[in-house]
Amino acid sequence: MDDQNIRLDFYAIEEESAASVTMFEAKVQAGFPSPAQGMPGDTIDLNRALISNPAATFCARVTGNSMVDAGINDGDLLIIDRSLDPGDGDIAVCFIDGDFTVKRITVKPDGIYLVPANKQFPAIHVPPESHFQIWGVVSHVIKHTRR
Amino acid sequence: MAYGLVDCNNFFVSCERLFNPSLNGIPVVVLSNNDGCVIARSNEAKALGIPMGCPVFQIREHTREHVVQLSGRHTVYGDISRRVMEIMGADVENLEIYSVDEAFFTLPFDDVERNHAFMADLVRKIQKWVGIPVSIGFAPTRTLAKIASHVAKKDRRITDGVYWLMRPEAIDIILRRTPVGDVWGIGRRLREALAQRGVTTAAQLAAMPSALVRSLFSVTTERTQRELRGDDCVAPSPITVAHNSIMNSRTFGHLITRRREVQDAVVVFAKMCAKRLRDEHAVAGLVTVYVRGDRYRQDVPFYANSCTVRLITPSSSTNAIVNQAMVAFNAIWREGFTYRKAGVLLGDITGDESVQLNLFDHENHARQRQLMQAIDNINSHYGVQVVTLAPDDPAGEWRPEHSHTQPGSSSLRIYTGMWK
Repeated sequence: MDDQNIRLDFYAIEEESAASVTMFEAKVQAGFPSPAQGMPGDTIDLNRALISNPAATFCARVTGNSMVDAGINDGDLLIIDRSLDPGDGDIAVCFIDGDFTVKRITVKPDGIYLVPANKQFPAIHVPPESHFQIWGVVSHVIKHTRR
Repeated sequence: MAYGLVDCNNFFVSCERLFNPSLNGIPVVVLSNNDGCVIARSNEAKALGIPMGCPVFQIREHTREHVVQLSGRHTVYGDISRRVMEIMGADVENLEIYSVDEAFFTLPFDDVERNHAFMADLVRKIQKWVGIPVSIGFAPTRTLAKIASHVAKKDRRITDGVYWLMRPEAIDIILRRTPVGDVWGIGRRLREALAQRGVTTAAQLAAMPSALVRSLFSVTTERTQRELRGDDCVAPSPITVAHNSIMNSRTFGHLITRRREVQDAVVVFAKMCAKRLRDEHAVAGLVTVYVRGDRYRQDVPFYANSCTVRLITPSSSTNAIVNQAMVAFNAIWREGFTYRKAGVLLGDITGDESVQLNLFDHENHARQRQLMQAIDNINSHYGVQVVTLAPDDPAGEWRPEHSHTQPGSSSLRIYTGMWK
């Protein structure tokens, strides 16, 4: 499979299971943790945190590495909210020339570009007459941090 | 009074196209799992003359090779259907889910233009959010609303997917153009019988004397005929009809905000209703769930809604009725409101001998009935709920998705602790 493209495996979303996880009030800084902070605060329901519009939300798993510099790696899970209006700079799942791909949408005077986040790949100019569809805006990426 | 009907265009094909847009613009059919019959067609497949229900081997070979054939993925279709109904249920009142891809509802406004604009927005919203093209028709009766939705679907470029059939002159023009076989409730045999009397259009049927229609055919056909004239009489809104229905509801002692509490109550009501049905050797065709807040409380926002789901085959199985009650409940539940009352109402009740099996229904009804009989016997023998379907499990989680994807597979759970 061409690395430019992603294979989308779509998943139905189980909304019924409430996964409440205790959230720590302090903002986690990417430095030394402060021992004084971190009192268990509110709980967070991951479904609610990640899915604001269940009827319009789909999940898909990424295959390929054209978006690594945007933090989207092979095997990551995309949360796609189709109710969001796609705009310049959004990362979106698009359908172009018979394949799904995830790219950053960039609007330029001469048209729409699908820009990868990986220097090995060129940006795709979307010709006006092509079979192109912005399938849905990626609202979140779920990733494993241990490989 | 006016009804709306939302109808998903070529639903199964549209679901497949959502996840594979390269299927757009080409002939696609979806086949039934066991016998390979056509159960959905894209417009392009319809244009090739492939009939609905046709076994795939009967399609001529040189046609067949141009058609993409897919086997049905009913779990996916169920998920997409739920999304469409959820969006509808949030914006309209009295949603009656009639099948996986169509639902009736009552209109939110009195003004036709306002309704039209609102419905056109809904069509766009469903297309954008879920990727499914839908058509909406509205008219004074359900039968006419169905015809209006056909017009909306056919002339999509002119109608924006919405067509209203309210003025008598407009109704008359459309009925003249509508073949009588396209009318809701007029099957092949009835169409042939009508053709023998020279009745080929919906307008001709509407013009027949009602008494004659009843004496020649049946009360049901007469109702259809009167609906074409604008008299609202097919399956009146189940919420307003007390007879021929079973209801169970409760006003809660306090205002409830948690989904789980209301949902549990709905499950219990649905079970009690199903038990009543079996006691009376009856089956129900409609399951309505309603929830409402407290209108007299000024300090909390008020919300009330109901949703009706039609069973593919009328049933008295706890499993089937609880499942459909959950579909209805999920469509109308809104987070962030407070609830004072909830209820379940079963409608379209008939004796269980007269059940007509539906072509698309894969449940084994005889076995379901035996299972229910066995459970009722054990429970009445021991006087308590010794044996129950899994959703009753007080410690477990009630997951409608499971029962949704595997109809009829609810496991039996026996609580040995209850034995003395």
